[in-house]
Amino acid sequence: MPEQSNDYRVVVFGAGGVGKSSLVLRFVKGTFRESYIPTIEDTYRQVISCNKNICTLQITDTTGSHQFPAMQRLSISKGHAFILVYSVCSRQSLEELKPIFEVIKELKGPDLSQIPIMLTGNKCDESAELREVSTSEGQAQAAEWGISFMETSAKTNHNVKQLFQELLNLEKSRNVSLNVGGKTNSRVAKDKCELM
Amino acid sequence: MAEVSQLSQDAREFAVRAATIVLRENNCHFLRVDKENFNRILRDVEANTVRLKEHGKDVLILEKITSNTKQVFSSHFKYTVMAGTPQKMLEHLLETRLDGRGAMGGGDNFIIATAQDPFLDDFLLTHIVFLPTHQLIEELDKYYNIDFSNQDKEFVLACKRRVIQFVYRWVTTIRHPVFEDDIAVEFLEDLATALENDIMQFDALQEEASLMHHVMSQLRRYQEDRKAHEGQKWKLPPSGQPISLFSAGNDTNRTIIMPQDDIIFRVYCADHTYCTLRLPVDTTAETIKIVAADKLKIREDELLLVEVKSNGERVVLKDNDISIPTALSINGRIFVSPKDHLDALTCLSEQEEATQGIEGDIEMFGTKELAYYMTLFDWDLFWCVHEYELLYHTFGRHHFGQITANLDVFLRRFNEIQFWVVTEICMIGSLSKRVGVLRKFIKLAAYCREYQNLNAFCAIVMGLSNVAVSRLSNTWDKLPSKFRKLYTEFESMIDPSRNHRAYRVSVGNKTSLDGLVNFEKMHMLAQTMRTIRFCRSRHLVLDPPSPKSEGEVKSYISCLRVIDNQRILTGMSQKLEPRRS
Ligand SMILES: Nc1nc2c(ncn2[C@@H]2O[C@H](COP(=O)(O)OP(=O)(O)OP(=O)(O)O)[C@@H](O)[C@H]2O)c(=O)[nH]1
Ligand SMILES: [Mg+2]
Repeated sequence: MPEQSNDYRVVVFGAGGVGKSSLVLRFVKGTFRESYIPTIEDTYRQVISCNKNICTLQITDTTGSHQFPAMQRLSISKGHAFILVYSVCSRQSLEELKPIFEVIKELKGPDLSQIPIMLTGNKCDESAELREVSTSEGQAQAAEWGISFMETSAKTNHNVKQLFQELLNLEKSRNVSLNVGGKTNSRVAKDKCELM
Repeated sequence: MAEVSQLSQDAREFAVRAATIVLRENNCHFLRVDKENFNRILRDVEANTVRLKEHGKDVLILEKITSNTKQVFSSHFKYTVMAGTPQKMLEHLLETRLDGRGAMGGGDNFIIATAQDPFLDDFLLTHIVFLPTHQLIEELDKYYNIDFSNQDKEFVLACKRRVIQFVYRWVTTIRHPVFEDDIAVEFLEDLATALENDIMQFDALQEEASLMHHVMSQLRRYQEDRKAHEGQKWKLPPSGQPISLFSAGNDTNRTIIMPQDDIIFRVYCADHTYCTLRLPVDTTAETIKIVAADKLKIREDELLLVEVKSNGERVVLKDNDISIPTALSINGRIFVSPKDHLDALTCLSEQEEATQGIEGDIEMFGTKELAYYMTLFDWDLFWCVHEYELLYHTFGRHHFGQITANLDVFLRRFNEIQFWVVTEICMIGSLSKRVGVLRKFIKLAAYCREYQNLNAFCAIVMGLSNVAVSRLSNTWDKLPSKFRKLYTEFESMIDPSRNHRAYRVSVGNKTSLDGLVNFEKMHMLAQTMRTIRFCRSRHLVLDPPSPKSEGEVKSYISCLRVIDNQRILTGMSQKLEPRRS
């Protein structure tokens, strides 16, 4: 079980190239880059509020490459919440989430309802011809696993902040929020992702 | 009487040599021996020192080898080089230490004589300090391709012979650093081709052809071997464990870390977020800094790369330094920080704890077994260290642009063992158990000495003499007197004045004096390098102890739990046995 500390730890998983780093960088730094630099393991910090106190959100951006499998179990056991990313342009990337979900279930216990997990279909800005996974298919998979779902685009900054806010909203054991001091409630775009 | 005639014979030999140099008109910068100088040379010979001058300046200083160190064969050479310009020393070496006469003249005696005389070996081992490889090659190339239109054929042949013999000795002495150097490899290829052509022309260089053939086949074998091991990956684990090959399950330590191998490591920010980088081992601190800053999106002009040690000490890493991850202290971490915010860098919480060792209780393992596997392990690490790394380390690896990773790993192991001893003892609350473990460590030191593992032996004894251990008087009092005696004996064996010999040689002596290389110092460094070479050349043959828990012992000793923060260790020690007031 994760130790009690001031940190709220979110871990981002998914296959190589689906846009995990892009989502995290868009959220933390507000930037996006076209070039692809594979990740081994990076972390980021953001100040958030937790039970009306200031605390830090620590985001671990993991590798999607099969070259570096080692740290996965450690990050899962230390993590409080998880984002599972696939690319809507790759059915294979959705498939690759299955074993990761199994390990989370194994390490966090069969009842995952207390643990915030988001299934995220990224690159929803891509044209319809490139799409391999429809929104409803994504939704169905999330429902089967009993977790939440959202489509995002790191490129167009669609639903990125909302993704993290929704995730924190799922935390029931404490009141975590992106807004420090101010009011919560950023509106989540539930409408279909526009094509760019 | 014999001594005098020998002396004058040497003087004649020398004069003849000087005369041949005058003949070489196209090299007009060479020595011109006028009558006055020549007489001076002879006079100096009487005074045991020969000074060779060029344009009124000393270029080579020789000293007569004193007869009390005389060996059977060393009488062949009466002079040893004390100082000189790099070019002059090379020239002297080629002309006096390498056989220009071919199969008829020199023969085995010459080879035996050179084996006894360290000048060639000293030069080969240390030339990179005063004559970088590309310059050495230039000189050799000049010497080999001497213009022979107006030269005696024998003289031309002698030059070629000497260069080939030199190259042969060079390659067999230095091995892989020569083959790793692109310029050197190109030179070898060209030389081999030139020699092939020369054989047709001169029909007299057969012996040299076979030496060169040997060199080239070594080169080919090396190149094949390198290809097979290309793209090795190493990792510096995040919790202070030793550097290891990335590919899991590979339990052989006998893998040399090469400059182009990748190493995976973390770079931290002041807020303890980090990025994981994968870069070649020979990456400069500056590049690491730039890559990390880009990944961490730090937009600051003046950044520093810093090691933060487990005691909070910050060491700023110079931009041109290389081998950064391998040279960290045991529980140290690399940070990147704006220049003005250095004060904000603090230890990670995991740095305040012990490094993550492999689970195991030292008391579970047989002492002899521990010593045995430690010796095998250390031996493999030692085997990977090239003599050159010692030079890079002493003079600063950034001067050479070369990594010291294998030496770093070996030195790190020494510290790991040392602090492991202190950590283990300071972690035991019960007095009687502590006495038992103290005893075990003394026994372990004894076994390591028996196995001739001086590295571990010294590390353990130094660990036991650490103040956090030595101040535990209740514990020492309960130790059987036999063990206390043994320990006192061990402690006296470690004479701190003999430590870091190479380093003191380098600091205490100037590398060059009045533009001349201080070759005496090179000789001293070469002695240390030869010791390394000698040790490595031996085979480690030990009888394995009866295997009880081989796998467990092996993995336990490969990754020890260590606190390397002296303040914490002393604090723990004081808690165990508070100071009596
Ligand atoms: N069109 C589009 N491209 C994206 C999006 N997000 C990321 N990309 C691109 O996809 C490529 C991979 O993005 P990364 O964020 O590096 O992928 P990753 O999941 O972190 O990959 P690993 O670190 O190897 O596991 C990059 O070229 C990005 O520019 C998106 O929302 N839309
Ligand atoms: Mg990534």
